[in-house]
Amino acid sequence: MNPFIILDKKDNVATALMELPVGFVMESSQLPVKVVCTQAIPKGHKVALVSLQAGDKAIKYGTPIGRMTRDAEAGSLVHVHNLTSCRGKEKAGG
Amino acid sequence: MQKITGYKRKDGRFGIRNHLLVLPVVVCANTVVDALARLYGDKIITVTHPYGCTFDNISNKEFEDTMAGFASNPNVGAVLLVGLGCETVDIKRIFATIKERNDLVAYVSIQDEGGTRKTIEAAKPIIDSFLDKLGSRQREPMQVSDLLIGTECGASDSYSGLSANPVLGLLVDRTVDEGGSAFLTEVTEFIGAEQNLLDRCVNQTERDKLQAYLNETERNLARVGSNELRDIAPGNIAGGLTTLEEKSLGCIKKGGSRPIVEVVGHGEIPRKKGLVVMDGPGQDVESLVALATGGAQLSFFTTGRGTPAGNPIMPVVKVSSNTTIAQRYPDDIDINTGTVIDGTETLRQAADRMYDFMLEIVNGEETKCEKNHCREFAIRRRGKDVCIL
Repeated sequence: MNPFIILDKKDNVATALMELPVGFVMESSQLPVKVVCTQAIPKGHKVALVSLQAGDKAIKYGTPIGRMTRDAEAGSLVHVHNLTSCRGKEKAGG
Repeated sequence: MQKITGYKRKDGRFGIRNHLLVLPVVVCANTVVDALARLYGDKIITVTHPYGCTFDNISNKEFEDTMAGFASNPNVGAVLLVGLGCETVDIKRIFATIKERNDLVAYVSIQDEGGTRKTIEAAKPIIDSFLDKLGSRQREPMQVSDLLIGTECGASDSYSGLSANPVLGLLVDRTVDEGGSAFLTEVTEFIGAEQNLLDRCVNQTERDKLQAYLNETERNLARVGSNELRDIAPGNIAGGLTTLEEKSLGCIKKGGSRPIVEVVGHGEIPRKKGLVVMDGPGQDVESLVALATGGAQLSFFTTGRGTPAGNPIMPVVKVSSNTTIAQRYPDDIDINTGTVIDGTETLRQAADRMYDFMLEIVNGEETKCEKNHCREFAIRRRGKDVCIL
């Protein structure tokens, strides 16, 4: 079983299929360089494949899934602490 | 290939079950219905609910339409409606709508009969007569092209979009390719993934209808409040999902890849064969009721975290996205697609296994939900001042 999955070549996050420990080296034909996990990534959660800046779009399934609210270095967890939805907000009052 | 059979109904649709449904049209009739449930046990299906009387015309119409559509699902062979007499929903209108599709329908009202016990006594000969008539109905050959399957995902995790939903999508594609139909619904969970669906609509009319439902849903989302996590549940987040867009992209995988031939309103019966999008809520039980109301004979319910929710009249096949859940909930999960994550099965192999299982369910094999009597019932509230997503 693969330890993680990258669903589209445009993706900047991968999904862990098992818990990835600190120091785990992510290698894949879809990755130009190896990515080392800087923190434990729980099963089913997302890990940054490149350094993401606050304001960047996180991409999964080849499609934006939200906007980063904080920076995240490559190999770190991407979740509710640094990523937020862009939808269901702009049209308030409409 | 395995032959399938069902109960042919007056309107040409096939049921895969032959239930006698006793349905209160208003909350005040629940006690009578519960008493009948105790008297008849497994011979009848009963539902109780808190709806049926409100000053809101929009809600009233939606309740009437939903009760009538639900009770005329082809899995229902006979219906007894129970009313109070002064409720705002119109029992005669519900009765007349069902009657167009099924002759075995009747109603009793508590105020006509003169109280609880007299209404129970009045219901008994009707139920006995319906049971007698249903007992003589035989199954007839049907085809996959006679099937309309519902799709639903709930208590999702980040595997749902990697295993269970894409596997279900392949089953939907195969069913559509064989001339059958499938519903994709839960419009809340299209938000962020809508372009894929809009692109698949067969014409501008259907695309405009879908866009209108999306706009309404997103307006309602914005009205609910500013909490950015409101769109996905705590369990989704614990499972690794972060945003609505991410959840949606996984959710729509269960609709497969075929063109969207028609976009219908909440609980509306499709006119075309193929993949149909229904305007429906994200809440699982309300969604399953909407699918049954639109005529789905069975539904597939994918889950990453495990949920028992079922439906009173429509078999619900529970599909797990990961093997851990399948092992923890052996009495609730029918099909495990965690095999795809484990690497022991391909998406296609899992979809073929699901297809074979579907034919067994059509032929009368009970789902885990049916065995456990999981019969949840809830109707989407959509009124002048209400928006529930």
